[in-house]
Amino acid sequence: MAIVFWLCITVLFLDLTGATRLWFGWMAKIQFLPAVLAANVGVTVLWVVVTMLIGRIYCSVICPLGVMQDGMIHVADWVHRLRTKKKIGLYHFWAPRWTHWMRLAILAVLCVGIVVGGGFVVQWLAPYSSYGRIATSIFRPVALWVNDILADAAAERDSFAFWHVTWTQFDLALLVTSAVTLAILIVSTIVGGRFYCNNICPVGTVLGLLGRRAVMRIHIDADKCVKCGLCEHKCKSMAIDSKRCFVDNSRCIDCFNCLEVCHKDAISFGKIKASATTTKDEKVTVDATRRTMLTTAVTLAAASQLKAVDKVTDGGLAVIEDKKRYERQTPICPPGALSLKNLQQHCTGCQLCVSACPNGVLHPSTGLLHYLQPTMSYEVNHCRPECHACSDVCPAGAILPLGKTHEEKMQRKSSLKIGRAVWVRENCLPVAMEERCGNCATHCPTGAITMVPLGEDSGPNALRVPSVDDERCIGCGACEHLCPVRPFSAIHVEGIEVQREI
Amino acid sequence: MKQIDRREFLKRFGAAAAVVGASAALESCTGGAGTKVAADAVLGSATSGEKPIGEMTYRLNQKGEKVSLLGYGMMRLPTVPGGSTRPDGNDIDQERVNELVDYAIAHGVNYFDTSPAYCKGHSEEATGIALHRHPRESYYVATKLSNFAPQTWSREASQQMFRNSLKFLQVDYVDYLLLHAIGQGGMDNFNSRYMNNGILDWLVEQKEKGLIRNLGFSFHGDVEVFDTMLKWMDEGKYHWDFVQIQMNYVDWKHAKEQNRRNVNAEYLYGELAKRNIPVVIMEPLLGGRLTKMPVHIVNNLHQRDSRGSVASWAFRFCGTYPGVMTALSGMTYMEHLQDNLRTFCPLEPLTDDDLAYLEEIAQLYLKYPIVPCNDCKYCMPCPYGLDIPSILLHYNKMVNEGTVPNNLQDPEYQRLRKQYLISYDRAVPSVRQADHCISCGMCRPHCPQNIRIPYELHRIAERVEELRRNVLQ
Repeated sequence: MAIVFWLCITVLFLDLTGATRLWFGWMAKIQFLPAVLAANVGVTVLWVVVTMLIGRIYCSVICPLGVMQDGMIHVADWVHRLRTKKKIGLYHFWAPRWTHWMRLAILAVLCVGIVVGGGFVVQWLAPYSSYGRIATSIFRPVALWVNDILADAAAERDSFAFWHVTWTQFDLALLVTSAVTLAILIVSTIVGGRFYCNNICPVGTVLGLLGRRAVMRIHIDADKCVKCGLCEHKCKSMAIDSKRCFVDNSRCIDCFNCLEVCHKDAISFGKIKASATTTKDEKVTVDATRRTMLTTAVTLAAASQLKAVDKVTDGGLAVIEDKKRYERQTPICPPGALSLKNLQQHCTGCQLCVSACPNGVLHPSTGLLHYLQPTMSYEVNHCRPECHACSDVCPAGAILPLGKTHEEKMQRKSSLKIGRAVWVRENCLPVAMEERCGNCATHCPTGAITMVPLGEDSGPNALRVPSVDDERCIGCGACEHLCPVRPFSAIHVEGIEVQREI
Repeated sequence: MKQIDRREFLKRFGAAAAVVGASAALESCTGGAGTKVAADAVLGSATSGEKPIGEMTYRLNQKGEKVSLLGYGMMRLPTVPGGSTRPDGNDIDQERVNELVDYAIAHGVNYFDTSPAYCKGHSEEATGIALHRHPRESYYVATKLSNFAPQTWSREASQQMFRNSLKFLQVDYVDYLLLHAIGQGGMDNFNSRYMNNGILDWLVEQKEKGLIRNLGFSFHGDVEVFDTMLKWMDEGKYHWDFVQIQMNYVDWKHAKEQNRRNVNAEYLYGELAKRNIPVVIMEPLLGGRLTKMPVHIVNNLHQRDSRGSVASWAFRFCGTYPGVMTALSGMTYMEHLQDNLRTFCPLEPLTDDDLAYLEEIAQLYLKYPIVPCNDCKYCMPCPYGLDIPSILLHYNKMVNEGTVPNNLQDPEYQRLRKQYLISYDRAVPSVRQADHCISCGMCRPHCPQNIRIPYELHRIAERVEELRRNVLQ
């Protein structure tokens, strides 16, 4: 089941057609941290209750980063057994006191991050987002590359089963971040199994605190136990101390490897009477949990110029210079993000919207405060009127759905202002080259651009330049994308602080 | 089925072997006659469903020389797959050009038509290389004074263009020289190109010197220019040894219908026949449009003549008129050349009944909303990087196949929409698609078919935008 979940979520990131969003979209929405950020009370409560009942099943089944680590652990374990030629596992009990404080500290940092609105803290720590980044920047290019090969083959055979799709724009910051995360995970899984999940991951910490005293949990019967250590070495969470017959249930992720490996039937999973001794630590943790919940609740409540080619001979294609990315004063947020602030507070940088965008207008931002959160640019395409993919997939409430039906969404999209077009006089063809143009006005979907005479002459052959009606412009970028001036268009879109209906 | 396949294979194999043999023999200067017979023997013996290649039909020019009724147009030469690797951007596949020319000459083709403008300016050079391997008297070469660009209007630039032609074609004299595509831009443009700079008189001098053996012109567009040329001939001012016009069974009576600035071929041919001026035909297939017909018409033609190809109808139409000296065909592939040779060796003229039938087909064809682009690429390069012919041809292809999605209620609509958009992206990269046209109008005067290119591009862009938005009514 874990593998099925992991595969489906991965497919969600690699999907090139957008078809699977309808089927697997909910899997992204049940992720814990995005659900908390999206103020999705149902999902949050569900996981709190489930964890309090049976422990951290979430970590071993739902979390894609966790399942991916399980895959690595499997390989590490296999290699280890091959090398040692013994059937004993790779790991051993390791849960020093300070790691407990460390994970609480990290959780606290996250909470402060959420309250203050420093999205970038969230991005670094959220497990689902880390996985999303890895899937987008490392797995997806492979999928695109395979798709390109298939599309070429299909084109040769006149088939329409595969076709070329716009590549997600290459982003160095994203790739480096993902590669570093992946490298850390590979090392940490070899050395310490689910080390990341039990010592760093804030979701793991919260669920661990809840699951520590879960109604049903792993228990070792000291009478039956022969202290062979098989379970301890097999435990990828390093949560079993076989010498003391002790299981740290805040670290246990319900993988049940220990049950399988025990010869003596000494390990069981079930309802356990509360232990008689309540230590001081436990009090602290309860406090911390309560505090976390309070903080979360507070957060939820707050919620150059083109040179004409001389034509002497026939045929051939003019060289087209690639458009370059404008440094926008205010970033453009995807339609549905409501405002830059809302995006910053909710987005966990999982890149699902970036993967889902069929037009290649979304890319991760590199700014420190909104590191890897989506921002828009119109070099290769514009934000097309019929598309609402990003708001459909966002699990974190950073980009909210535009409506219920396709028609409703399209209607809202065509009236939702996400930016404003700015004309750059000195770049414009009629000004710079005395060439008649008007492609921006031709393609403006809201009719916000009118061509007005440049000089005194207002006859049919007069040079005309665009005049933008700011009240009607929605910032879709059709004008910027289709402007013939390269590498910087003569008209470009600036973001606005708060999105609004026009 | 298997037997036929094997026979077909043997036939192809035999033909290829004959070509190799023919070119080898020609290179060793033993003359083409013997090998031609050998090649024919191979093709002739392997009778399949197709007509065998026999003797070429010839027509006489004003000097009484025999010119093959099938002429080779060097505008659509084969290119190397994957584009040019040479610094000058020449992407012509010279090896294949040589093979095609050898095969054509071995089967009696002796008229080759090129221009300094064709194939991004590399056609003359390629033609020269291919023809130079044959004895000079075994072929006639036609080229043009293609001084379209204003910077080539000066006397010196135009003279240089002619001298370059001799150099690239590797010849001491040109058999046929044409004033290229006069009529476009009216008399003003004609005067700027040939009269004000005294180039026409200079060309007549070159003819007297023997550097040009036949002087003529090719015509597109404004009929005033055509009439003036013939008037000058009647007055004895200039003599035209031949004239090249666009003629085919659609343009015969319907050129003006498609665009009021065009002239019906029936009129042009009639005027030339009256004066016994040999006619060279260009666009007998409308750039292949008369082979890539709507499925319905293709089936209709095959029903009437199961042995002839769709193209053969168009060529037989041209050959039926006795005033036609040669019909040019830009044959890119060996199959085209072989198919045409079957039609012209020998040519079977059409009956009156057939002509009436073709007129019906022409009327049927005009009902389809096809853009009359012949893929001549005169409009290119577009300064804003659009791939104009590819955009128009993709649109035509969808019309011909009947797969333009029209009706949202059609159960097939979603499938057709997907097919249309994907195939459009495959045919034209998105940065070169129709929505990038800014209507600068640079292309318009260059189009010999007088297509309102920006208008058509905007129409196509609008349709694609509708499909993308999925909101077609």
